[in-house]
Amino acid sequence: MDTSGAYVTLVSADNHKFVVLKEVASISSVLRSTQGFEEGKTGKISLDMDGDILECVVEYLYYHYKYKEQAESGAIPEFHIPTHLALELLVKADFLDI
Amino acid sequence: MSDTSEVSEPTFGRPKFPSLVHLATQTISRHLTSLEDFGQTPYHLMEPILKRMNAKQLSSMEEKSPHIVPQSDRLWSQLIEKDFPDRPHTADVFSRTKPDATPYRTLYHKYVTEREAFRQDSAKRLRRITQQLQNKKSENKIITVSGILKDPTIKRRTYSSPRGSYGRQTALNKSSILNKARRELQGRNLIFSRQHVKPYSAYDAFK
Repeated sequence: MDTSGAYVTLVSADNHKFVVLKEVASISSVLRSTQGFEEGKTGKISLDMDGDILECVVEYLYYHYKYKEQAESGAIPEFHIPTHLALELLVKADFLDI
Repeated sequence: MSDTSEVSEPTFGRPKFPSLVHLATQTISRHLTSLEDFGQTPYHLMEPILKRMNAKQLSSMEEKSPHIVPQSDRLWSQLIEKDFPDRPHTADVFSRTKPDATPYRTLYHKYVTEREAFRQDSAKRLRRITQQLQNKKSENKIITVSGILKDPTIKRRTYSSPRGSYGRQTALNKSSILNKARRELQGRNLIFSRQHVKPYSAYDAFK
């Protein structure tokens, strides 16, 4: 298990685990600052959100990481959000500052 | 990597990467009509979506999430501009006896009730005017009558039944030619207006 590597584990409220690059997680300033506190622990960040919401968040973080440089110059593919998650995602995204 | 999606320093010409907040807002906006309840979502996140709603939807949202009411009032100002462009949309135009927590919302509802009253009144007025026109029309209408009606304002000597020994045979004998002619003349005078015809004078040709 990668405890001090470049990865961090995001844990949802219903115990779904998502292993992401630290660099990717740092896109969110909230996750970035939380990471500091997790240093001595198992490199896990527990988040108060459902698994499917967190999954969408992780997807977005990678989407951002991948296409950040291109912005509008290259045509970046559309990031699809399932309608039934959109409202909750809005609130959580605001919380995570992403 | 300190770059978040929101670019803090001004970068003219370099577009921002869309934030998840922005994308989620967009998705919700696209399905505006199927949005039923915002729950406890804070107002600042709801605002861009509420801005696009009509009066009916906004009312419904306020009912379900009453915590937004004090702040959503400014949205009613926009709705007044949109739905009542002919009315003043500044709330301070009306002097209120008590301080109103939601002046614009109250103002909007006031306009709605006034418009409704006006429409009902309009329907009534329209009915009345139509009726008046109908009455006027029927005054000039041509209808068939059963017989020649005599002008009741003109005094006529009624030929009564035979008086004295002589009796008026002519009155009784209505079918006499003279009376018949007289009746016909009266009838024609009723139908055709009296033209003042100058009596014939042979000297007219020399004038």
